[in-house]
Amino acid sequence: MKVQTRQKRQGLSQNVRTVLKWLFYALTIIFFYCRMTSGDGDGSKSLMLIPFATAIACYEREVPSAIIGAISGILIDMATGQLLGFTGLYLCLFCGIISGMFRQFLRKNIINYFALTLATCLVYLYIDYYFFYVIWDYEGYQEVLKHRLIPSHLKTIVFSPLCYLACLIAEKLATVKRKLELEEKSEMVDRV
Amino acid sequence: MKDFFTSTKFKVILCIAALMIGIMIYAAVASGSVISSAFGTILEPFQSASQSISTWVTTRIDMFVNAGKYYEENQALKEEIARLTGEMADYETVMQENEQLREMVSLAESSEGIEFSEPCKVIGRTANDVYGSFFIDKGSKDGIEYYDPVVTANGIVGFVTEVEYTYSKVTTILSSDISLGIYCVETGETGVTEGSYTLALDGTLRMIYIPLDCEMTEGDIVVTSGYSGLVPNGLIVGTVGETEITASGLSRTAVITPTVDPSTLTSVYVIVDFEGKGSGYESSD
Repeated sequence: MKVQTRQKRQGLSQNVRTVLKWLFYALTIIFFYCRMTSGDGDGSKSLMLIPFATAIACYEREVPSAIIGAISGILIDMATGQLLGFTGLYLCLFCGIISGMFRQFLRKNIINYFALTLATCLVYLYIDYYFFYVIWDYEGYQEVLKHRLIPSHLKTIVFSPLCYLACLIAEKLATVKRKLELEEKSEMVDRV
Repeated sequence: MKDFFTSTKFKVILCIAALMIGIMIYAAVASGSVISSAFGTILEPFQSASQSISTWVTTRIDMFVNAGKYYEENQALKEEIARLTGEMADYETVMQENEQLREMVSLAESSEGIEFSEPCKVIGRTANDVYGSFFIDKGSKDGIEYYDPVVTANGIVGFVTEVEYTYSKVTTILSSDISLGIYCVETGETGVTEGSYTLALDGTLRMIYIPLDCEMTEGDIVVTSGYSGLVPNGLIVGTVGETEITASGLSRTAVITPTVDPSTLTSVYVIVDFEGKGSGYESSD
């Protein structure tokens, strides 16, 4: 008796599943962008594109992750009215590095994801605050940190596990399952 | 990990990073960006739909959450209607006054020579912007230009600070980047607006360079002076709050509460042309 490995095709082929997965990513990115620019002007908005880009980086290779990071960053720059490419550069590098870390060092689980997303958000909060507020020294810039940036990043961090779960489900659904079967002993098979 | 830093994919990531730096430098030196314009044109329908959905959902949630309050309001309004019905005798007088006011307004508009754009829908808001800047669905194809004033029936909202082909960005008068020459209608005292993060969080701005012996009182209305040539004369800015003497002791400042709250706007108008546009001191440089 030997263990035989074979792929069980379930409905859609691997290529179609991959296309659907990337379509899901694209639509979710557009959704998060629209969410950032919709609604009333009062209050802070979460920057869910950051945790979503890092969640994608958990499961994708370095280069696609860096590209997704760059696109997400540009959309964040557009939504927040910042210098175009600033967040794009930041997320491009971070997502590429996060992807590399998950492929080489880290296990893909929600704790590691959350730790890296937290680090990404905190570093981003600092550089955003420093480059767009502190160095310009406008009157009352500290109030922005208190009333806008910190609440925004808190919301982002709190809801970030949802992004991980969404990407986890997308990845599982996009991968064709491998089924292990035991092959019955057969006299027809010439064994050496 | 050492292999990763010498691999082709790492070089590709560096290339993308270099591209981002290039975009950053281009966006910093150019007034508009092809990339934001392209992304914006693609995303505009999504943004517009999202804003509509958001408004619809917010309205429905509000209906459910505040149903009791609305019921009480409804009862109160019914009583109010009953009372107002008794005052219908004054209707004709009010109508006549209304007609006169309309004539005055239309006369004022025609004498100012103000040309408005079509109504502009607010299609999105800048996330986490304390000043409440927003995007409108009219761009250069609709004749919108940089620094065109944006208004509603209640007064000035801000200025167009980014123009793309199909949409534009409006920066409000709460912004510290915008200063307007204004004067008090009641007393004629002039000053300049100044925004700050602290005041913007309260939805206010500051009027500076007011003479020490000013006679302005709380509730007075301030309007644009129009000296800059960027904005017509007489657009309502807001009402005067408390005044105080500056630290230098040479002048006073007053808190101004704008008549328009940008955070709740759904549509605005852009003044695309007006008599005296570009003829103020701003255009002399």
